[in-house]
Amino acid sequence: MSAAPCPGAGQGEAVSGSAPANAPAGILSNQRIARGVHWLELAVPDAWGPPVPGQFVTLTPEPAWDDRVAGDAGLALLARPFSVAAFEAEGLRRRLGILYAPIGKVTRRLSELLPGGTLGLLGPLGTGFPLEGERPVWLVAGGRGIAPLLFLSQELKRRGRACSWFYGARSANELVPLPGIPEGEVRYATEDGSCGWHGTVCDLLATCETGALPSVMACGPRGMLAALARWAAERAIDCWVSVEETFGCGTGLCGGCALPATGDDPRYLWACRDGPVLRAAQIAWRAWRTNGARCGCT
Amino acid sequence: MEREEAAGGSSRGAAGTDLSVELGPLHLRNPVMNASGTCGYGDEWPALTQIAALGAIVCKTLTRDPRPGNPPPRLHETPGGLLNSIGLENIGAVQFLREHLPRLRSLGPRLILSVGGDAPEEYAACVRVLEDGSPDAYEVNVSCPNVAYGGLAFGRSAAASAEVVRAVRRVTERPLFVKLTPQVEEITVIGRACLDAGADGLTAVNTFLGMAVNVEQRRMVFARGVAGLSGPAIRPLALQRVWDLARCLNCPLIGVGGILTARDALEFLLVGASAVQIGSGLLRDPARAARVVQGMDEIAHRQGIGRIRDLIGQLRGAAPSPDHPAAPADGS
Repeated sequence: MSAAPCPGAGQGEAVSGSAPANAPAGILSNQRIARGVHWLELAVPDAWGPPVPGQFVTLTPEPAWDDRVAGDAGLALLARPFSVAAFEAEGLRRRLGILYAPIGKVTRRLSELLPGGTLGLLGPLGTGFPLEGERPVWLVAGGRGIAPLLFLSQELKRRGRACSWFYGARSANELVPLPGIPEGEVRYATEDGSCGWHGTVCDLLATCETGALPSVMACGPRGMLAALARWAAERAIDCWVSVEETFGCGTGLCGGCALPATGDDPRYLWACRDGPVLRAAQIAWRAWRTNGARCGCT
Repeated sequence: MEREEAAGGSSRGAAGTDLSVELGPLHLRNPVMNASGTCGYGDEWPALTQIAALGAIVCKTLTRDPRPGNPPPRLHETPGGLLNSIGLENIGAVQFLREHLPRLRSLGPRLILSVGGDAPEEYAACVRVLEDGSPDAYEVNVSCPNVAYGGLAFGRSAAASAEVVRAVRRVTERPLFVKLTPQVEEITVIGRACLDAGADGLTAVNTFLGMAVNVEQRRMVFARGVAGLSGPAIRPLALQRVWDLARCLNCPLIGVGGILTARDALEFLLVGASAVQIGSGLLRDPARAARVVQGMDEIAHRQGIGRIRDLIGQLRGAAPSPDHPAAPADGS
């Protein structure tokens, strides 16, 4: 099995991928891989994607609206965004991997779906991480924010770039096993000290020597990313983050996922269209007010 | 035939229904549009939205000058609906003309430009700029609940709404539709004032005012507190407003509010709308409006209805209005 080539590589900035498609996808597998964490594998058409690491899809577990009957919101009116956690091509088969936690009504319904079923899929959407470059890459994850970084690390390794993992959570039982990542490559941090460094992942980074000036690529809760952005800015480190606001359409058609930008331009960034991967320095972190209930990539 | 070509495509569905409608002075090849603000400027992802299949495209509301819109969060899902507080973020009329209009023109459907402003003269200034793009019609948004000035403040007053319409009418002869707020005691009074001021028709309705609270953080979800509620939760409410307008005013109506399926759309046609708009449904399925066109064709075919326009207003006089018991059933 080989990884599909990624478009848009080598531009030195957040990259866009293929045009999104809007079609049902077949469920190949859907299982719990750790406490509170599930892995969903979808079969997508051979013309689908390929996605760039950092891009996302929206999923709806409900069937398409039937035009013969009155339309209702069902479980939820909106589809939900999920980072692409894996994408593999084998001949004409395309497999899309999604890591999720069944914490809301939609994700709980997702966790009940069986192989052989279908769900609504829109994507790939948004921007991806820059893949080209010479610098070593520090992958910094918080909680379930590992999802896009799993796919990213796969692509970076294919390009021969050195990667180091820094992975933080509140407690050891919130750390998600990293499939395919050797334990020795990961440095852990937990706020309660139950695994690895006692403190936040940014506390851990502060103890590390950054002489080789890495590129940092990160995904996690808002607070973690804001702290990471400060840490990177103080050291003039190239830092990319994958962010989430409450998404409406996921395609840049509704303008619902605005977040404040730095600089003099009063225009907002749209997390789904300008992101989800942005330079950390593009975001006015202090001004970014949110209803704050969701984080990362669930 | 000439009219079909002018409208940019066939008015006959795959099942054979004649889907064309007359919306006042506008001939539409089918009665389905997107609702303003739910499909960008209209031209962003034509393959994904299948927007070329619609009867008309409605752009995101434009103002004369660019606007940044409201701070986040801007969306909050509710049971059966969606609260939004976008705040008329847009690139301004000049940039729209340069960057979007040529491509929109090439797509085929009628092009309706939604316009907003803080004052009547600002609406007029925006339209004056957009006249260079020769749109097929304008939709005057006097009902946005998410801005501090203009918007709903105009739409709640018959006099202020009429003043906006008069200002726009002075600078264009193109068809004008006024998008009404449902947040009024008597929507027909506002509608009549708009028609008397020179509007050709009405779009009903914009979002309902709503609110959400973040209990964990003990604060309002939205910076402005209020937001606009859309989605299937408001469909029966919107339908009643459209029926009321159809009963009382003899004018072209565009029905909008929680329409997700072709069946929903036909409800609005039956009570008196000549066309419909799909909004929130596009957020989950960007091709939803195009699918509603197909669905209408199939339902009409199954019911033996050859022309969709024959359904329009069939139920306009089917029940007495609690507000207007004496209103003539056919509106004339």
